[in-house]
This record gives sequence, structure tokens and C-alpha cells, in this order.
Amino acid sequence: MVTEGKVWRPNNLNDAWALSQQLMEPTQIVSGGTWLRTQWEGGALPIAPHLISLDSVPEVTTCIHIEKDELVIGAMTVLADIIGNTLIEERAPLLAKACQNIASPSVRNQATLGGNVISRVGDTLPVLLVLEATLTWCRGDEMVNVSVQKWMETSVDAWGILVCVRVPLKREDDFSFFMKMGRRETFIPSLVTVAGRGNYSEETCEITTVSLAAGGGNTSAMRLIETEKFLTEKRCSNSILLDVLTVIQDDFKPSGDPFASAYYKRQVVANLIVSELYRLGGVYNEVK
Amino acid sequence: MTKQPQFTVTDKPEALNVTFHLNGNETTLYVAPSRRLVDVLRTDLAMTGTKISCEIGRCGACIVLVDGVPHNSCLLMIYQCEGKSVETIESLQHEKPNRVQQAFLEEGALQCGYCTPGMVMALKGMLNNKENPTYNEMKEALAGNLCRCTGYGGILRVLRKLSSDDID
Repeated sequence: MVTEGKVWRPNNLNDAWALSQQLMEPTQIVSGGTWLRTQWEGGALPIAPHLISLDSVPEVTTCIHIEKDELVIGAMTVLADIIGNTLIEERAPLLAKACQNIASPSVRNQATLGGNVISRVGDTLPVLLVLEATLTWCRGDEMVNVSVQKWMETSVDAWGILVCVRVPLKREDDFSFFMKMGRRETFIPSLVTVAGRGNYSEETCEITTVSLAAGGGNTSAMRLIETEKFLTEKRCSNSILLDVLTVIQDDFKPSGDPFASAYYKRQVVANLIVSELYRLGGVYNEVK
Repeated sequence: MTKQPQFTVTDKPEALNVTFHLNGNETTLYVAPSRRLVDVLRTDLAMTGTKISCEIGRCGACIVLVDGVPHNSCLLMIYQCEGKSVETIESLQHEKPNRVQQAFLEEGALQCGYCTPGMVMALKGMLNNKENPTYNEMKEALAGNLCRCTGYGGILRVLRKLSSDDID
């Protein structure tokens, strides 16, 4: 049952952090609040007695800019502002594609990148994992950077208040993909979400570098490390891709739900990734 | 020594003043800040034109415009409206229907009508921000609105009528 929480609106990051540490009862940091509201309404999460809103904190508000060799996106940037942003389109088009595929236009006008990340099941996470993004956290006077991958292995709130997401710019990808599968287009979360990027040598028909991640639905996003190792510097062929199907199914560990078993989700993820790799030239190599 | 935080809200958790523009009128309400906008509109202000259905941001029945942009009022807390401009379907109570309403009437794009206010506001938001949207852009603007009666035929005719191109 949803009840009302007290709302605190600090106007700087230090105060937000101090509040989260000093209040004697449980607190909840709120950015857009769209995911939190659905959790409260569904009874999956109790509303905390103290809500700390970040909407008046300038350090986390909407900003998309380049800093040294990184694309920096403020945690409070709404998904709608990411879609169609010139810098994002040029430097991280996969992230724009993921945002375009989240919820509906009206939700994207309120939902933030930070909230999508913090949910641990957001559809931006597979993309941020393959882009090897880092998260900047505020812990009072200290700012801490941690990779998305490392953060996914720790407690959600172990690092402080999420300030921004940093995407490295150094890569030139030969291929990249983002796909989301669901039982239907509206009203339900995805069954699975996959993302991948890498480099492919047409000369040797080898995948020289590859990053793969999957998540979606109620499954926390994860890198597919064993699959990446298996694929790297192997000559692409149909027989290799058949082996990859098996490797992915061992590598991806989703949660089942009342509508789709973990086994089914593993199969779907494997099929999606292999279909993308097939486009790289497996079939052509067999023909040549 | 830890610096004492400064806050912009009253120390009383139950309620505070929230000031925003509602359909063009400056409005101040003394409300619990985490209440949903849709509840404040329908319960406190008796503005029942904004509908409530799924309550999780997936059906679009409760869409209003905030600073001219569509938002689901079931996901928006009232404190998030502070200093903003909120437009509901009641803002279109004129003698003459606006362009979107007229298209819905002409194309018979409603049956029970429950989803219509949300759809009208979603399309108004799109037309606010894009002068000549294409059919596909209009369709995308309604991607978060569900109708359980019409089968969407009339609604798709509305999109065709309001779009700058004429493709299916």
C-alpha cells in the first residue's frame, strides 16, 4: 500500500548526501521517479518515509558534454533529451537507440538515465556495459568513479549518489547492435535486451574485439564474458556460430518469470546475438 | 564538523505549498508533496477529465502536458510540478473544438471515450513541438496510449488527417 513520503529538496549535492546520511529513517533518492512509482504501486518496493529529490541539485541536472576523452551525461538527463541529441547520435548512437526503445514518449519525458541505471534492470544497462561506461558517485566531499560492470557486482547503494554517466570515446566500432524482445509492443517490460559492439577484420574474417551484454525484464544486465573470449580472434563461420549458440546459453544467467522461463530467455538471447554475428559474414565465408 | 544542510521545504512532512500554473491560472495547493498529480487533479480539484486506469504509466489515459510536453500524471508527484505549467484536457473547453478534438469527432475515433483525453493531450503535445509531423511521427506520439474499444481504425484516420504526409 502506497503511503506518502516526506519530500526533501536539497539544492546541492553535499546537502543531498548529508541528508541521506543523517536522517534516522530509511531514505530514497528520487530523480524522475517513474520506475519508483511503478514499484510502489505494485507493492514491489515500500515508499521510504523520506524522499530526497534531486531535481534542484545543479550538479546532476541535464547536461550532455564532452570532457577530455569521455562523453558525460548528467544523471538527471531525461531519456527524451538523449534521443536526438547531436553528441549522443555521433558518439554513442547505441545509447540513443536504447533510450528510443524504453517505454513511451510521455514516460521518456520524465524518466532519467540515472533512474534507469539505478533500477539495475534498465534497458540502457546492456549498452552501457558494452560501451564500458563508468559511473561517477558523490560521497560527501569525495567523488568516486566506478565502472558499470563493477557497480553491477556490488550493492545498489554502496557508492553514494549517482552524479553522471561517462562513456569513453576512443572506440571506432565496425559493428554494434541493440535489440529488445517482448511478448508485445506495449504495456509490458521486455523479455530480454541485448547489446553488442566490436571490430571485425574482413581480410581475415575474424572478430578482433567484441563486447556483449544482455538483460531485460527482471534480469540484471550482465556482460557475456565467456562468449566474448570464445569469439575473439576466431574466424567467423557458420559452424562457429552454432557453437556460440551453446556458449551464450551457458554464459547468460537470467531469472525466469511467470511468462517466460530462464531457459527460454537464454535461447532468445543466443538467437538474437548469433543472428547479428551471422550478418557479419559467416554465411559469405562458407560460400567463398 | 559536518555542515548543516539547507532545505527548500518546510519541516512538516504531511503537506506544503506547491505553486504551479494549471490551465493558465497560477495555483497554490497545500498538499502532501509525494501525492500523484492525477489524484490531486481528480480528487482535490474535481477535474475528472484526466482519466486514471493502469496507474503505472503504460496506458496513457492520464496524460497531461507539463511545460507543453506530455507526461503521465499517474507517475508525476505534485512537488515535481512546482513552478511548471500544467495543461489538462479541461484547458480545451472552448466553444470550438481544437484541431485534434475536431479530427477525433470527424473520424469517429472514440467509443467509450475513456482513453480520448489522454490521446488528445498526447497529440496536442506533439503538435506543440512539431509544426508538420509525419504520419509515423504522429503514430509514435501515441505509442503510450491504449484503446480497448475502437480497434484503432478511427484513431489511425485521425493521425492521417493531422499528419503532413499521407502514408500508411
